[in-house]
Amino acid sequence: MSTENEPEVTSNTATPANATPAVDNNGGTETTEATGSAADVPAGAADTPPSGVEYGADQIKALKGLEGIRMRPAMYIGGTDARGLHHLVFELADNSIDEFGAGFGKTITVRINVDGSVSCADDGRGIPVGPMPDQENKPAVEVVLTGLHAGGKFDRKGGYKKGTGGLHGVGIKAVNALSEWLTAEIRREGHVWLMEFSRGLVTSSLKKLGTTKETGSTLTFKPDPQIFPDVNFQYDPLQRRLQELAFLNSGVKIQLIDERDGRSDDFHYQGGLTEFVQWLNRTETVIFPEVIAISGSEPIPVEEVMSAIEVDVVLQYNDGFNENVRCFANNIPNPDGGTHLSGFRNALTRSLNNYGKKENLFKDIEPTGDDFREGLTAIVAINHPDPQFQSQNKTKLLNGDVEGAVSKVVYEVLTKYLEEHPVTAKRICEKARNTAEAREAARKARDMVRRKGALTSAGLPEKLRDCRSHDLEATELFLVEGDSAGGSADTGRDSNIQAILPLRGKILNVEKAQMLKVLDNEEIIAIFKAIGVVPGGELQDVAKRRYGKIILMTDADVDGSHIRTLLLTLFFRHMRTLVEQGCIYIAQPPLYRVTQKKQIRYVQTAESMMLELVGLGLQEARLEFSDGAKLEGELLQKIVQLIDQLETPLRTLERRGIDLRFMASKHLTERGLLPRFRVFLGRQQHWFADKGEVEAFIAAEEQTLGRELRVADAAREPGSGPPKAVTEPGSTGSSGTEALLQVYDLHEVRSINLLLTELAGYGIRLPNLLSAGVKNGLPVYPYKVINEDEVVPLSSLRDLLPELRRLGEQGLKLTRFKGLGEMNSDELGITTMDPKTRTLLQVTMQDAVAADEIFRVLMGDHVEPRREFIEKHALEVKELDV
Amino acid sequence: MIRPLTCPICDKPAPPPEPGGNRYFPFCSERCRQIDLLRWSKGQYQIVDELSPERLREELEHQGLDDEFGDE
Repeated sequence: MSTENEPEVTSNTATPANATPAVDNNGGTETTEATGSAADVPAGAADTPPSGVEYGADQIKALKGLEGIRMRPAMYIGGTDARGLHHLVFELADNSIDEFGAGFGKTITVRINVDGSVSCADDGRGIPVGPMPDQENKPAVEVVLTGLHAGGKFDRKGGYKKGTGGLHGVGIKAVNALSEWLTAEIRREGHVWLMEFSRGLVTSSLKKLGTTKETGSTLTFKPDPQIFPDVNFQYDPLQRRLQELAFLNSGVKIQLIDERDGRSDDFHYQGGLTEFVQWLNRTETVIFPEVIAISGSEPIPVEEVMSAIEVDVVLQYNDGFNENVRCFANNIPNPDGGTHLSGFRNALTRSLNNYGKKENLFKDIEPTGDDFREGLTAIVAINHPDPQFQSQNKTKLLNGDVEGAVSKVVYEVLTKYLEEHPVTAKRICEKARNTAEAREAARKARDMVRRKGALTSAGLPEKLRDCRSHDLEATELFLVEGDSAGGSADTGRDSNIQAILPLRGKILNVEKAQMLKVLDNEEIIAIFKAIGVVPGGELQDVAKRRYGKIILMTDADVDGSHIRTLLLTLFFRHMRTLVEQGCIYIAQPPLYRVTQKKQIRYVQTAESMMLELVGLGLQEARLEFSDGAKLEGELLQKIVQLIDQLETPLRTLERRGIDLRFMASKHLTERGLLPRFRVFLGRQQHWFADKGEVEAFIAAEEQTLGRELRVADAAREPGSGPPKAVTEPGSTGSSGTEALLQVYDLHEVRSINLLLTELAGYGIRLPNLLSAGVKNGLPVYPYKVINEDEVVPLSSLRDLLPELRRLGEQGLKLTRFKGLGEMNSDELGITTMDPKTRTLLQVTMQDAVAADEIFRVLMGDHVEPRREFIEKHALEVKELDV
Repeated sequence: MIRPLTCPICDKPAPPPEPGGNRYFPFCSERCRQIDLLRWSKGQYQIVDELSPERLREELEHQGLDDEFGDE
């Protein structure tokens, strides 16, 4: 740091030299003291006449300087309040840190002594003690502590290669000038040296105390009560700043000891700024575990020599709403930020915005800089060879070149980081998006209140066909999927107690060949308005709802179940009390119309329809084998049931590309069961019944080979084919290709084998389930199903079920409704709406939670687990007759 | 009664809604509840199904039918 650029000089014209005439007037008395002290007379002996010391211009300058500090301490330490008082300690600690930064010393100890003085000790080189020829051969330590604008850091040859932080040239002298007394104990050149001062003046000249092998400086001072109204040091501000210094200077050991009460702390952080951020986030929930560390430097010329601005930024996000960015320039905290902060903010916004846009994460929302800083914890530290600050407190950094340097380094490194860490990058962008949305949502909510509420205002939705009654005991609102079904429902309803709100939940996108299931804004508003409950409504709001029951009526297909999931999720999230009070129901429209001898019945589900048809087919039917064996009645029913259960796992096995006929002829176990493990070694295929056999096989192969088998990379279920051969790098030809091991556990074989075992008890085995094929050019039918009217030949017992269904269907007319719209209004009324004949399912909180879970999966990025999930978690609702 | 869920918006745990409990359930806060409502109102919650050419044709025919009924 050079004097010319000291901000207190450039930005403040009231330098000590200008502070005339008061300084001159007082200068005389102080001069007397100064001569006294030079003669090793205690400072108190001010009336002792000067002797033996030349009263030169240099001393006047120095004394004026020290007097200037005492006259205007605020200019040097920011004030004489508690902050200024503690600043004295920081000046000394900063000096020790600079020594550490230059590569000397490891440990700094700050001690609050019982008498209220403070010692700061380091194990650096020790302040030089040798005579300075250009300073009347005064010991260097005296010049350092008394000579204004003199110090080791003006000359970069002194070992301080980087920019340093303290008020050097002033700081340490300010401490001396503002202390009732100060002692400097220095270990260097094989000796311990001691020098004492009072209010900036020497009271005891440099003395040798003895020999030592150690090096280092210990400065002890007691702040002057003439300057500071309160000279009592507090532990906490010292602790905070010293810990900060330990974070900023990774590796340094800083010890703080309070002799008054024995309190102490040790700060030692190898992780540096990264550990700082982790410490700041210690009580928060972070949104990703790692800390992003950015560093780099930008060259700049200083005094015609190339130097550099060094930039170190670390950041991490927590799930809170606050921004916590700490800025430092040359180790000095800048609570008001400055050019490094603006450079950082600018680069953060730019790189995250670019990433989010490129990855299409900000679809119809544009996060602002503020949005990217919510939950941000960061340290922005720069080192500049010539830092300039706004005030002596250094609360704000001014150097214009820092903004560009920080911005450039952060943008480049962060952009690369985001590319390489997409999971973290997406988390950050998602959070910014949420923040932007929250802002927009809050604005909309305010708008709504101002406009007396679009949702709560009087007037009913245009599409609503209301009912006449207002009796909550009786009234019902049907939310109906599709306008055409809405029309049928309108005709089929009891308009006294039943209201209809048709919803268009599906949008066909012909260009993209997509079906979108979505509730648009108009529909959402219509739902809230029709029900008469505001979003987030509580018990008293729900009591004022317009209908007793809210009934969802959707098609019995996948689209219908999606729309139902959307509606249930909306209710769960924004009208939860309605669900809790049991006001939400699901209509149960039939899937089949069955006409038999002019009698019409309705069947609800595909499963019950199939069961019914098989049941009808089984009546009076018997199964005959080619050898004349017969099965009928309960026995046949049991076998049909087992074969039915076998169908699903058999299909799974076939989907893997495994041919049942091949298995039956080659790989059946002794008991006629299928092997559960398929093992590939290269292209060679092996089958094993259990894990033990697999292990024995592998052990044998490895013994032959003399080493362990190499396992193929990813398991490729459900394909379960042979592994791709991998050629070892560096090898050539087939000799270098290693046969890879791949073991597949065919889980479905377990169920197949259980069912086959049971079927074996009735004399039926796997070959009976395979087509008998062709003999002499003619298909073979080893089985017959016989009933009153018909004899049906079967090629395999797997055909038994479909045939029984077909027989059962004879004499019936089956209509499968593809949607509610395919029913006429009378049918819809009787089967689904009429309270006397219909069935309703009441939605419980558990159902709504399940719907929300399905909804989350459907909204997620993972397309694959979707179907599986839906099949597994098909909405189960408690049946209730109403 | 209802096991604890995570907030649909920010994934933080959302405490249960028992009387005197979390009135924003299943959200963690008013803020997240509002974000969700905004997404609904902007039609951002879409379930998208890819349609096979056959299904697309079927849907187009069906829609034609639907419109006829709708005009009644």
